[in-house]
Amino acid sequence: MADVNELIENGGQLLTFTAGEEHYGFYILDVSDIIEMPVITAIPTAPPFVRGLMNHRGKAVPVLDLRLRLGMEEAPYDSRSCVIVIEINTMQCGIAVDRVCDVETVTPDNIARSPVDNGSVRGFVIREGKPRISILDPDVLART
Amino acid sequence: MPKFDESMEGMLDTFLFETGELLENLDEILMRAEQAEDISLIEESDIAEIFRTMHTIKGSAAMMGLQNMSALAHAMEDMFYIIREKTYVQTDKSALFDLLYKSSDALKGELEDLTDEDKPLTDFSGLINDIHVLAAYFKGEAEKSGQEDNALPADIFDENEPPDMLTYRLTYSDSCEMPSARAIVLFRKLGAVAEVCRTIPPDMDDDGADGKIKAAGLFIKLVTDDRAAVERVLAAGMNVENFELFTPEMLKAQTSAAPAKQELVIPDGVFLPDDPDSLLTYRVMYSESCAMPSARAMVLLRKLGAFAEVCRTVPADLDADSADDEIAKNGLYIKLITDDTNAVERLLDSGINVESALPVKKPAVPQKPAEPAPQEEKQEVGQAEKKPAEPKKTAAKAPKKEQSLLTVKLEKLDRLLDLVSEIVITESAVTSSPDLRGLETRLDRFNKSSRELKKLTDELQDVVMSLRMVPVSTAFQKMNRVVRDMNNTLKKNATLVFRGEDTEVDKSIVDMLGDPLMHIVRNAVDHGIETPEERLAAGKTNPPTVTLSAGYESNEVVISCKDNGAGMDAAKILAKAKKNGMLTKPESEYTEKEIFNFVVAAGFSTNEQVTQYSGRGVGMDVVKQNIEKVGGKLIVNSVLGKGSSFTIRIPLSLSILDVLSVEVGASSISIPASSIREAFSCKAESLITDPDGNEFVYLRDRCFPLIRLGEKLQIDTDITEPADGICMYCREGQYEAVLLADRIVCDQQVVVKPFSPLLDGLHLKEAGLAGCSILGDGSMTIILDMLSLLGGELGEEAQNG
Repeated sequence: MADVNELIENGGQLLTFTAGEEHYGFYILDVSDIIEMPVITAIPTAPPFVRGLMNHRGKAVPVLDLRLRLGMEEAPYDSRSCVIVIEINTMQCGIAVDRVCDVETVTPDNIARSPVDNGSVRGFVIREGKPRISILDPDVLART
Repeated sequence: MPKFDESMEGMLDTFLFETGELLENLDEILMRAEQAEDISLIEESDIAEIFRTMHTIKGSAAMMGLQNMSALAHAMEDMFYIIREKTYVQTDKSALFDLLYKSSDALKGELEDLTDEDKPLTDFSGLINDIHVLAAYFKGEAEKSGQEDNALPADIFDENEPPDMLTYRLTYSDSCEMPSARAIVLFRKLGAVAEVCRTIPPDMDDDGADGKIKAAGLFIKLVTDDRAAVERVLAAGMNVENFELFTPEMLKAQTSAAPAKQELVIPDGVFLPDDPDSLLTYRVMYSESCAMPSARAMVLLRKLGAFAEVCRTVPADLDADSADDEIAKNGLYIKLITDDTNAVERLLDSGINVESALPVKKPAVPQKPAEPAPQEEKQEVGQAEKKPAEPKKTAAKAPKKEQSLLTVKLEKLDRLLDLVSEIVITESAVTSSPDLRGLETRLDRFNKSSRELKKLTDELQDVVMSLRMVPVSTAFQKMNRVVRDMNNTLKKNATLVFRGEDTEVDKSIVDMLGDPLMHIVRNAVDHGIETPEERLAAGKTNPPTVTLSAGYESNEVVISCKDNGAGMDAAKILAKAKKNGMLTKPESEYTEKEIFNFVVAAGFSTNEQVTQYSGRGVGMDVVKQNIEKVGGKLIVNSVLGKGSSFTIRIPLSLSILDVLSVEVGASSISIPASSIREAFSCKAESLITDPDGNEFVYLRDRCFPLIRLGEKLQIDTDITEPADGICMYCREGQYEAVLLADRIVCDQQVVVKPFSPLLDGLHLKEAGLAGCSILGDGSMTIILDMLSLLGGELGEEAQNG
């Protein structure tokens, strides 16, 4: 588990992906796996953004839908949809995204810190000629 | 301030564990030793074992820098030295064992507090003193005045006393009956010419003072301008045989027990003829207060390994019993090769309790007249020189300990268990892969190999499961102590008998059992067993016995505690329950079993008086709750006049659960089998709806609330009428209801996995979900929490309460 603040302060590698029209990124050290859409077992009574549980290497790992988590409209999963497994204090959580794009190296000069303290987005990578990337805080995102 | 050397922090876990084990073991031996009629009849092997245990505790505590524990262990060791060598003239068994138990408890308590930074180290000097006093009593105290140097008090010289303070040592003639009285007179006379600051022994009125003076002499510390006058007074003192000016050097010379001069003699083997010139020699002297220099030395050597290659040490074997004495006498010689002498010297100087660390030059002329048997030694050392001292030391240690046990962290085992379950699941996913079905070719060899693989993985799983199993005897043994202590105070002479203590159960169960067992055993002795007079009056001739037994029954571990005491009077209990307002139905309807169950209810005690051990009515309630928490049951039975039995039944493994899996819509839901009483098809006419809209199912003259799982768990399903699906009459605690599901899939055993803590915010438990489980085919099922599901909002409360 790496602190996303490290990335914002010192720069580093970012795993970028999309949900809807937006580009998002996780600090690469927070990511433990990227997998195809698995079989998901729904958890009764859970809110819609909690997709359910997947069997990830013998562990029951919760899967959240990024679109619904961020308040966007639901869209059916397709062949390019996948689950990014992130690790928060040794606890794993899967985040279903539309597609994974790239691993990019960003420097602190590219990053604009978010003024919101406890939001799910901690900062933005803004570069000329490229889409804006919102850096997500895995801890805020995964905690329900 | 940290309680132990910071560098030792990594060792803390091991220290706590090992010392804890040793102390448990010690209790057991003490218990056995106490059976002996007299101290002289205690098995020699037991004495040796106790002695060894204390020695080990002393050593490891000293290594951790825990002087208080080390000192207490040392005192106990001393005590047993007297017993082992049979140098005692009189004994007092009960005082001895009381003191030993007290010390062992004190050490245990200290271990528990060790990790708590807020609690200071406990001062054991009171206990240590008690042990010394008892030891002195054993030896017959003053009898041994001949060996006065052994009895020299250690605190003659205080570090911060002024330099002009003089110390005189007086010896009184043997014929002097009461030297303490003479001393008082003498002090008064001395007062005229000098200021007497302190005497040893300090209190002349003390009963022991005479003995001490006779043994070690009387020490007077004074400040004076006129030494001649003082000495005149002393010489004129009645019965004074001799007096001398006593100096710290004299003390050292006498206590070090080295008949040789204070000048250090370089022992044999420090310098060998074929030592290379690059081999440096250091002499490390430890301060006298250091209890176990050899332990310190080992730590020092380990640290030295970073800078230098330690070739050998003199004394060579730091584990040897004599090593401490040798180091105290001659110092520790370390022979090493290093590139960084500064670092080595710094390290040596900073060593704990190190008084001085100096390089020693090889004497130019062979100092020893003849090197005794250098040949053998050379060969030995020659081998050791190639390697650093470290591996040699461990190699020497291994056979001595004869340890065939290995301590492993529980987390590692759990991880292993996880991995193995993963392998089992993956194995079945591979061998029954749907892809294979489409193949035209025959898969004979594949099938054969996969069968073999399955056998192996099954065996692997069994072995890994068994790793966590420990015999229940560890939990049983502790009860010995409980019964012994109670026998002492209650005088009931109950004996404790074990049956099936080899039964192996999951480690977590054994840990959990400790508390409940203690309560039950206490109850058995306190309430169950009668006093000897009562037994006699009842015509009971058999000895009062409490029997603890363990065994397996189907998938459960059964542990029971039986006593042959008075038993319980069902009528009396019922009356008491009635008085406490605990009855929920007419008195006549209670079965005996139900009545005895009152005993374990909260706030119920048949004892009229609250005693030291029981009577508050809290204990058994807690016991029951603890046992139920791990899915176990507590069953009470009793025959008036014959005795009672308390039986605990716990599922073999805590995490494996028998469930009935059902389908609700597309979801697989598992209901703990223990709470399902009956599954049945419900006819439409059995469904009753009351004017308020509540729905009930009528089953055999009773009405139960209907819970549609689909509705309750917000799962889409077409089956909403009880007549179309399957109904299950469930009961958990005091809650009852009929659950409706689509259909039953199967009953199976599952390993419960709690939900990820990340989902805590969803309050799934309150919604009636206990966790999930991964099935053999890799799919998952959701397991219900029956208490919150049936109890609704009350469920949560009931769980906390």
